[in-house]
Amino acid sequence: MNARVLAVVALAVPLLGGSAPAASSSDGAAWLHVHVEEPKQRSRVQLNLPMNAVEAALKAAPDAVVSHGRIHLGGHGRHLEIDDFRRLWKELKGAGDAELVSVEDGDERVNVSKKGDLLLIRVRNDDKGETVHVDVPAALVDALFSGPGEDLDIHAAVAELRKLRGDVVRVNDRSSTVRIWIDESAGAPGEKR
Amino acid sequence: MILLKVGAVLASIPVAVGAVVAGTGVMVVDVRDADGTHIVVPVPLLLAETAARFVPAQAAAANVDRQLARARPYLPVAEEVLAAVAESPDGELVRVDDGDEHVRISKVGDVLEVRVESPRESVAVNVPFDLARQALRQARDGRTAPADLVAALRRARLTRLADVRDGGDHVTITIW
Repeated sequence: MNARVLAVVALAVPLLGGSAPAASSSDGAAWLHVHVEEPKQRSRVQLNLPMNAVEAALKAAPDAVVSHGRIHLGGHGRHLEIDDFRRLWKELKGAGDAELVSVEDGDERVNVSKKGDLLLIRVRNDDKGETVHVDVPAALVDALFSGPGEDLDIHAAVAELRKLRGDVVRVNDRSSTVRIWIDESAGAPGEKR
Repeated sequence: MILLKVGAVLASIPVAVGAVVAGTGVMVVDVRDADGTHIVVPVPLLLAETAARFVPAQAAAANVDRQLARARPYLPVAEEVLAAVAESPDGELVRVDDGDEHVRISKVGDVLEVRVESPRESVAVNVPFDLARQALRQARDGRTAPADLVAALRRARLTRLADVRDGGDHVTITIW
């Protein structure tokens, strides 16, 4: 699995999230599931975390991911202002359903589009047999950007995540699959003890 | 008649001691070696707690402090995550299968169950949330108070803390 896919997933987990299916108003406790499988390596990792624990863990995120109102996208002093993201998001929201980004680079195609209340990110690499699906509900991004000034509102985002059910991220390549989703089941479907 | 009374008093001492030990908990360490050696060490928790209060903890605290230097900023978060998990419904939190090695971490009641299985060894550890919280709090505050940890064990009666099999060796630690 290449670094770009991992970067998309890494960004998606703390900052994006959400689900393709409609938001649920269920009062059941929400669980975040992260499953990573590498069949050829006979390796499988499954994390099932109650959303309360995710929320507590994300309290560390502002120090680790965001400081002085900036999302650090890497070392070497590169960064983007949160306010730039906020402005960009406002414009995207007002654009209605549309393909926002389409990049073809050799065998790799990246598409970012807005459909209804979802921001859809699709990456496909035919050469590597790799696909990435990230579905981001607009309400979640709204919640993230609802903080004052240069702050991301992690708490508002987690509160939004609590309402969501379904797949958040799916990544498939030749050797591995990653799936992140939210539901009300403590264990993975069919794997309850 | 007097002899009878003296006898009754003398007989009541071990009964009273036994009742206190049973009432305050006993940690039983059971070790079976592959060569057939079998050692059972019952440790009354009240005695262990009292002894732990006299343990010179300063050097241990300094050592723990040094070991946790990098992790310290995350300890308050770890405490909150632990508290959130403790309040959540029971369920399997982590499952890792890597070839013949398997790790499971589950929340079952007031206990965090950790299971590690491999062809050669099997480790089952049950960590009472109370004990883990106490340990994290101590680590965060940079202090080491073994007596408080033992006291937390007293609230984890009837728990098998550890069950480790390695080849022909078998060790269990149980709180009664």
